[in-house]
Amino acid sequence: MESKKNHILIVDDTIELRALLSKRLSNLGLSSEQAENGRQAMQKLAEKPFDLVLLDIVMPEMDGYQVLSAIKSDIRFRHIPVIVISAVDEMESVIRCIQLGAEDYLPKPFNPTLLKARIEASLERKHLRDQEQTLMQEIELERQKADNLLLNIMPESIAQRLKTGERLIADTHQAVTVMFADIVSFTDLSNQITAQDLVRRLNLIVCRYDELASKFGVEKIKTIGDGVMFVSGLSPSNENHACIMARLALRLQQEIGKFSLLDNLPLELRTGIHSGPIVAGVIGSQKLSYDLWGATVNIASRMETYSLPGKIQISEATFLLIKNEFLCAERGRIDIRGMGEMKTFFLTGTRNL
Amino acid sequence: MEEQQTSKIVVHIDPDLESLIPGYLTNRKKDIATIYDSLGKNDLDKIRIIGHSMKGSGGGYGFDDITDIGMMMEKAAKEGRSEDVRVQTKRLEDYLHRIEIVYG
Repeated sequence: MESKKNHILIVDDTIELRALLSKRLSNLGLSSEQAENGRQAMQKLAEKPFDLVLLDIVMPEMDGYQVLSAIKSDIRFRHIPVIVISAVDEMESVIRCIQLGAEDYLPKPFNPTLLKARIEASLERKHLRDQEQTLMQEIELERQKADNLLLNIMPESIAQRLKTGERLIADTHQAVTVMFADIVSFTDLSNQITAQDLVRRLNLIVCRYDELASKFGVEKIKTIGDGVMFVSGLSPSNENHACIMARLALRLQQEIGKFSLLDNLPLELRTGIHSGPIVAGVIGSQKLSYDLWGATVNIASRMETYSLPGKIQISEATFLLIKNEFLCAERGRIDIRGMGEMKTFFLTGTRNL
Repeated sequence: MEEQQTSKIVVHIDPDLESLIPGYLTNRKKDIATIYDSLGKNDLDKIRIIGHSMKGSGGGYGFDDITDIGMMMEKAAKEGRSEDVRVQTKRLEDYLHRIEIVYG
């Protein structure tokens, strides 16, 4: 039996029976409160937790059947066991109480030894049920934590598929936009501040990225050192992926200026964007990773590498998708390692449509 | 008028309940007055409730006869037998007059 003192509600319209039960419970080391009618009983149940209700049947205003029915139909109280103690000795009454959810039925006048046995058995069952419920709540809490963890590292739709048991997740997306954004000279600056300061400040920046990505409906795929990789267009409804990414890129440029690793030295972002097909999937067993593969990813990465501090370099493919809504300046043709010469543009702002 | 028996009825009561017994017996004496009053008003339903209450409580305190009287009284009141109610009331008066309580 648990160490906490069980608290029992006695519901009976006869004062001598309430006093008698209270005395018997006290002798068993149980605390109790009394209600002289059904209405008062429901009030007391709403005010504080009880471990057991001892309920009379014949009472004025609200009889025991009504009280039992009210207890068992209320989600707040239905877990509380009810032992009916009644001088109504017809079998029909016993059956009715059990059908309404009574844990037990004891005829009046009650035998104190039998009363003790029934009360202890009821409390033990309730204790076990409470333990089970607590365990279920803990399991649910852990499940939610695991779900949240999964959502932190991959898109919700992918997390849902993993939860339903899908083993191999490998999706082809014909048209998405990938962006890489890198903090310029971060490595050099990191030599001038403490590790704690570095991580703290970088964390502030990445958290802000997360907020903005979520706000714009873009997925942050991963952080690689001081660079971040984003993708838009994974969702079929997200057809405007290039424009969405362009808006996020401009916003990130604005935001990064608000941060600095050294006082009075605002940070700059070097950004690259490309649009095209990709393959997306989940790899790993112990440490799951959602990632993207394909030439589109490589070209977006090169756009970033060959971009300039404070600039957003975009490929021609992305330019063609956003040119009607955004201002872009042609950079010309540049030689990109592994890709050859490519025509690129700098995204400079939005058009006033 | 029936002759009242004078021999004592010894009732053994759980010492744990000692503090509750005087009040319990006083209330039964009050019940007798209420029953006579109710008989005068032909309020048998009130008597039925008193009988039901005695039936449920008597044995719990150790007064099995009160439970028995209560049961008979409840039944008589329910069936409209006023004379039987009177008989049971007399029986209760006699019982209360004759009992001698021993704790333990």
